[in-house]
Amino acid sequence: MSALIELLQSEIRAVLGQLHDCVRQAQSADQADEAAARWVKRSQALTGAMSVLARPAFSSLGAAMQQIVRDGGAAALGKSSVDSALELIGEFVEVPVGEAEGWLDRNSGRAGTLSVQLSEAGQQRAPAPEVDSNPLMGLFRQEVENQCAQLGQRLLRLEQEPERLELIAPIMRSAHSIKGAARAVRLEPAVALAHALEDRLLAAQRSGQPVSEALIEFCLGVVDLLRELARAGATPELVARHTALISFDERNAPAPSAATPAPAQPAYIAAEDSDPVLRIKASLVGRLIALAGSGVVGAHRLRPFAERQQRLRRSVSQLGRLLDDLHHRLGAPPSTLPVGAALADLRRHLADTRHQTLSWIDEFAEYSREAFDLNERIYQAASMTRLRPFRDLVLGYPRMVRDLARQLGKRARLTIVGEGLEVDRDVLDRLDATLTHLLRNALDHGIENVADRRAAGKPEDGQLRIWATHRAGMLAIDISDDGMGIDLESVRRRLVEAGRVTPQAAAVLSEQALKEHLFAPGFSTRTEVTEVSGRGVGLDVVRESIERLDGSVRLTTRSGQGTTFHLLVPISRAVTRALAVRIADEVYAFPSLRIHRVLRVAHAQIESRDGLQYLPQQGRNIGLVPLAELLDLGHTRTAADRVDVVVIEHQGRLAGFVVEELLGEFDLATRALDTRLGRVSDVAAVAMLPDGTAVVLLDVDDLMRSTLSRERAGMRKLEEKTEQTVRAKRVLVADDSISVRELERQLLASQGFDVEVAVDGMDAWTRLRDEDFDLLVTDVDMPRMDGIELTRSIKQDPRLRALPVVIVSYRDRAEDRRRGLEARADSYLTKADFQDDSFIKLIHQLLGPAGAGDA
Amino acid sequence: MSAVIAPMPQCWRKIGVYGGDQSCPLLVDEIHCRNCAVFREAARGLLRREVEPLPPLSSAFTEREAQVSSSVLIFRLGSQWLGLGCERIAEVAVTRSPRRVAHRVSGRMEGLVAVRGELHLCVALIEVLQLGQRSEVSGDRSRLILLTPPQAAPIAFRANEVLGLRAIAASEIEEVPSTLPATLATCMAGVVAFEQGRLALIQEGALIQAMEEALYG
Repeated sequence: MSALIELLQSEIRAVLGQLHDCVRQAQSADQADEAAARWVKRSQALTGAMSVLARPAFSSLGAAMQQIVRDGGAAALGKSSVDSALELIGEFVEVPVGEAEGWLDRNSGRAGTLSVQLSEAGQQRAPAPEVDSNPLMGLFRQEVENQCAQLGQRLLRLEQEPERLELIAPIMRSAHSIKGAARAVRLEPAVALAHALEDRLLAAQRSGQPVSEALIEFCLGVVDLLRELARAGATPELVARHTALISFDERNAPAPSAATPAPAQPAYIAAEDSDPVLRIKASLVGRLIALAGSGVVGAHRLRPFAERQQRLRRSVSQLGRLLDDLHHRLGAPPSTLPVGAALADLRRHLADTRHQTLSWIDEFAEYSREAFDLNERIYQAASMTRLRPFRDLVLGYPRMVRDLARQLGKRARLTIVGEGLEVDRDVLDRLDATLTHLLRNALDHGIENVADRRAAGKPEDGQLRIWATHRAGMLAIDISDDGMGIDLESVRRRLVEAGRVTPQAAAVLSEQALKEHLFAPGFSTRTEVTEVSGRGVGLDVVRESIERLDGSVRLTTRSGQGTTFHLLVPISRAVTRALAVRIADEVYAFPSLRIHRVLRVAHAQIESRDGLQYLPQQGRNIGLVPLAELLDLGHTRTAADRVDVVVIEHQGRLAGFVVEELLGEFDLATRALDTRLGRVSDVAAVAMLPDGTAVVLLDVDDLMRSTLSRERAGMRKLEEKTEQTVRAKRVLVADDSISVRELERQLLASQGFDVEVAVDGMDAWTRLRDEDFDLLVTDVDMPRMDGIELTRSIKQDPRLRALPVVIVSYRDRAEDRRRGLEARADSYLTKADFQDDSFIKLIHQLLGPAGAGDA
Repeated sequence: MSAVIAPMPQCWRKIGVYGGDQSCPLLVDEIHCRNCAVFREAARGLLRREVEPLPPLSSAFTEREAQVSSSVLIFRLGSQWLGLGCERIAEVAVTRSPRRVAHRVSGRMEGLVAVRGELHLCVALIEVLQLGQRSEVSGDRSRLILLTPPQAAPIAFRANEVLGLRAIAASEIEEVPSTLPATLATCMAGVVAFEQGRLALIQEGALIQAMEEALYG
């Protein structure tokens, strides 16, 4: 499917640009009709493309987009729901291919809602006008979503143990809840479905016979349809399917014992949810966590106060001693004398003060301890609002595995351990695509078909297991199958066949190295393309998405016995363990997981060659990079007696970053850098230390890339001395206006750059993927794909995201600029900037001189 | 209690600790104005004051307009006093010097500042408005002011000093003189006589736009 998705995305992307044009065109009165006509044609093409996705909600969205303009003419294109629809589709085309399936599943609901909104906005007689205009509908959708998830799980359990009839009661309970809710929103087909489900289950329960496979199949069908009804409302298509499903059931039903009327309020109804779920704005949660965090910082600041009080106590004691001394020196006058009386008075006062000071200090210590504890707890509780149980992610997996296995003509069963683990919602969302991918792989490549399994003496049902645990503050997920395993010898053979390794080199590759090759881009152990896991096993994608979470993945496999993937990811993306360092008087941090080692060496240990510095270490030379220089922060000032170096390993290469001081390891609550700054290279996130100091978390991949290009620039400088020919830097200029394009081309060519042109965003996108460029200059308003979209695509593409992008546009309003920089462009210029040399300056800043270096 | 109340309005600014000469005899016992009953009563009076009734619907709006007053926050950048409407001001906080961000050290964006557990971008407004250098904004009196652009996170800037709020009537506002720095002039709604000189009244929309642009450049 993935190859197909890619095709579809590019097709839809092209249509999308035209649709956007139609919306723009519709605003001018004389072109409105033409725009409407083109819209209908183009959205037809869109519907066609989307129907291939096999997601009914998306096909009906396309249909609704056609209909709204058929009914309402060009005026309908001004509706906000049209914009939302284009936005949703725009999102889809940006989704990385590997994640597309998951995205579609997650967003079917949105597509459904939008098509209903479109139908309503078009004043077309909506099939179920009360849908969505009813404020309860949103709640209903959520309830059905929750109940159906549980239903699916329980039905699968029942399928595995059909004789355990006591499993039926909770299923009926869910069905009953759905029925009640559907009645409240007057969604009749859903009421009927839930009712049929209840009826049939009741009959099965009373029959005392093990539950038939046909019944489970029917129930799962009902669950699916209920979900779709809740998402899309009673569309004619869904109503037809509902009728078919219910009548199908009736034809196959055994002698209906269900004729006996169900009791008015069956006994299995009980309140189940004692802890209702609230919906809260994410930004509010973020604020709450930030405030709670600063409460902890505030409580920390009480400590110096307590220390100062101790000093006060000591000085009061000292006063007492001085007074005693004085009393003694004066010959201990009795209190009958005036001096003695005054001294006695003084000593009494001091004793009182001392006593009081002590009790206040105790009180304060008690108070500050409580304040600290309370603030810590508030922070913990606030952070918990971001956590969700692992269950939420994996709930649908057993069903997916079952269905996929059948599709492949195999049998498989998934068990999940550790459903209750609490994990940050961001991490969960990002794991979805990877886990789905690995399960698909296991089913497609790992699990054998029934005959083979029998021959191998294995149970007919293939076993898959997801095992999640907390390990040293990380989430460890093992995904295992008991299938055929990976034959590492065949990996060795394929490496040679594919010409990746010479036969001699292949022969000595270790087991570890062979596994490493499995994760390399484009490697596959399989030749044919399958529907389920597409071309190749795509383990490079798995590794990339896990590393982007600052996690790691490795695999163990035994031929004939199965494969296990071990994933290790942080429990929360919001908290990153990091090593804080000082550079140019400010604090930066390296994510601990990416640090190879930390070294403290003497200046004498550092060697210098060709203007670059090296540190010989265990037979390898580690190239040293002064970090302040790399980050444009001036000069790295190291201590006189030592140099602190943070060593990073990236794809087999080592680089040592010279810092000014190591400050220690911290758990940092990270947040994204304000998007209005555009993309700042080498910066991953920002955070605060416990004392309130702001920290910038470094992007290690970026650092390694910058380092590499810096080294190459250095090498090239050396080569320049001997060689005159140096490859000029290549710049791609994308603009639909020939005059602007030509102007930019000449400007850049005059600076010695090798300039290529593209006539629009689409053209540029294709060229960028096929050829190597060092920089892109793009316009915003272009047909087919605009500059913003182009930028976004580039910055989301793992191979292209480091490419500097300069947007040049007539649009000079702040929000246009913001839009450009939010798409992560490196810079945004207006065409007015051509008048001076700021354009050329900027290009030089981003690329250096035309001939040297390599971005 | 009425016996304690000093006859002098805003005594805390004159003989108290809020910019006054601290000559008030009550300070001997109270130590700080915020502990003093006079201050407390003044605060209560402010909260309990009568709200100005809405004008009758039939009255001539044009006549009233001249009397309409608005609250502005008065602060200083370099030697220039400025006034800014309160609507977009999110917070006035004690200054911490901003930390720089790698690669973005040359522009008018100064870096990040921490306010109550959140990090905000900070712009050298004194440079944006061409009123001086960022190094001139320092000292105990300097404050951090956070402005909230529509639908975006706040942006901070540092001011040499913040005086507080003052009501300014529309009738007090004079036209912008042509002698001001260009960027400042485009952000101004007018000038108002203030102390010995003039107060530049800032148009918040234009100011926020100028600050957002400074983020990019």
